[in-house]
Amino acid sequence: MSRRGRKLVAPLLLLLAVAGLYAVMRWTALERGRLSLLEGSLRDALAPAERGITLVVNRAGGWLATIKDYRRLQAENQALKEEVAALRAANVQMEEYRQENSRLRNLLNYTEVNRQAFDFAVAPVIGRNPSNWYHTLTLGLGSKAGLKKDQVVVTAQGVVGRIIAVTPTTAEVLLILDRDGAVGGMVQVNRTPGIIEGSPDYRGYLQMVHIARDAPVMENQVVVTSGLGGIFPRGLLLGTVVRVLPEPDGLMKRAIIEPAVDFDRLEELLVITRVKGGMGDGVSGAGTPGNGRPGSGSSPAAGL
Amino acid sequence: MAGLVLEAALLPAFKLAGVKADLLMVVLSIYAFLKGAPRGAALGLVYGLLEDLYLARFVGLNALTMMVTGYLVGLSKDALNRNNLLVPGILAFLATLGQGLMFLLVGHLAGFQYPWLAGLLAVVLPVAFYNGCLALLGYSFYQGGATWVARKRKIGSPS
Repeated sequence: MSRRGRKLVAPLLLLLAVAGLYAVMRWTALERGRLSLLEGSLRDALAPAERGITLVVNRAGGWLATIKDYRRLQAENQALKEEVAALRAANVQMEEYRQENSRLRNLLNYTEVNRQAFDFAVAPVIGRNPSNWYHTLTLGLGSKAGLKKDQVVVTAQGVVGRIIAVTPTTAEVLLILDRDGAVGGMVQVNRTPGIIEGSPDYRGYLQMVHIARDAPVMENQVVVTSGLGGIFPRGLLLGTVVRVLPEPDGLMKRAIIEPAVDFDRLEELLVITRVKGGMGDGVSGAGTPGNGRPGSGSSPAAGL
Repeated sequence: MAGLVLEAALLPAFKLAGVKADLLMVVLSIYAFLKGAPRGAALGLVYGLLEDLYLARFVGLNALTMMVTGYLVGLSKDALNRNNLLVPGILAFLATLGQGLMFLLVGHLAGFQYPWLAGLLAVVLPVAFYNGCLALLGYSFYQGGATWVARKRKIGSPS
């Protein structure tokens, strides 16, 4: 080949390459259902590596972002923790309010029902007697709020006791469970009267003592105050007879009574500040006997 | 004072067999056992008087019975092994039993007419058992704390 001819080879090859590449470019510009063998093989060969690298890059990016945002995330985490704690506390508080609302609603219903008979004051329980021998509790209202000795204390469930001492800001309530807190009572259905006092052997229960052997006192009968004694108005619910036992002398019997009030769960109480009259049996929750759960002591019903 | 407030406000929530633990008796038993009769009697008098004033009924009844109990428990100071964890538990049980019986006896003389058998079976014995268990637990904690403090001091002191 002449010198001139050799000089033309290179541009010619270049031209051919340009034309070839252009043709390939045009051919591959169209949407194709299948790739060529070369393209497909290359893609398949590189795919695992691509996948691995992409994974590493993504992970590393996440880690880097985490490291970069560590302080912010830490602050955010702390803030969220505080928010969770505050929400939990608020939730507990809300639950307290809900329960308090429910209790106060019950008391309000009771006061509405008995508006004709009594005036009431609502007093919170702030302490219980630390001794196992006496049954008293302390209210958070005293003489400043108009509370006086011998005022009767009740809940919507029934009788709690009577006030035995007052200070300007507190009042001590002697529960009917106490040996000295005896109340005049009667079986509602047949008017059998008796003295109701705390049972010394069945702790947490009341007992009606010195009942005549032939008196019609039976289990499941409701016991209410008789009004005798001048302190407790007539017709307030005391509890339900759960057992009748003979007295040791054989001539009398006694009835063990499950109190209507759960004395271990008292939080707000109603103090009867004035008796207007018009009180009859069946008021004061007589329809719901046995709400008290003395269960912490020996159960007289256990042997039934 | 804190014990009394705890007894009035918290312990009613932890009744067992219908009775509350008597924290003051537990503390008195352990204290008298560790410190001896005179100090035990003094603490018993203070605790009892405090409780009587708080209860405002038969003032002096608890003071008298707890003072005697503190004194009697204190007599065991040198006679019993204070490393034995069971000792305070048994002492608290016996002390509560004794104080309860004295309470019933002196109470009857003073006009507190609680039935003997019911008082013993439904109040004194359950409280004694409850107190015994608490004293056992409390003394174990006390011993553990004392050992820890002693070890810390030993490490901290120059050899």
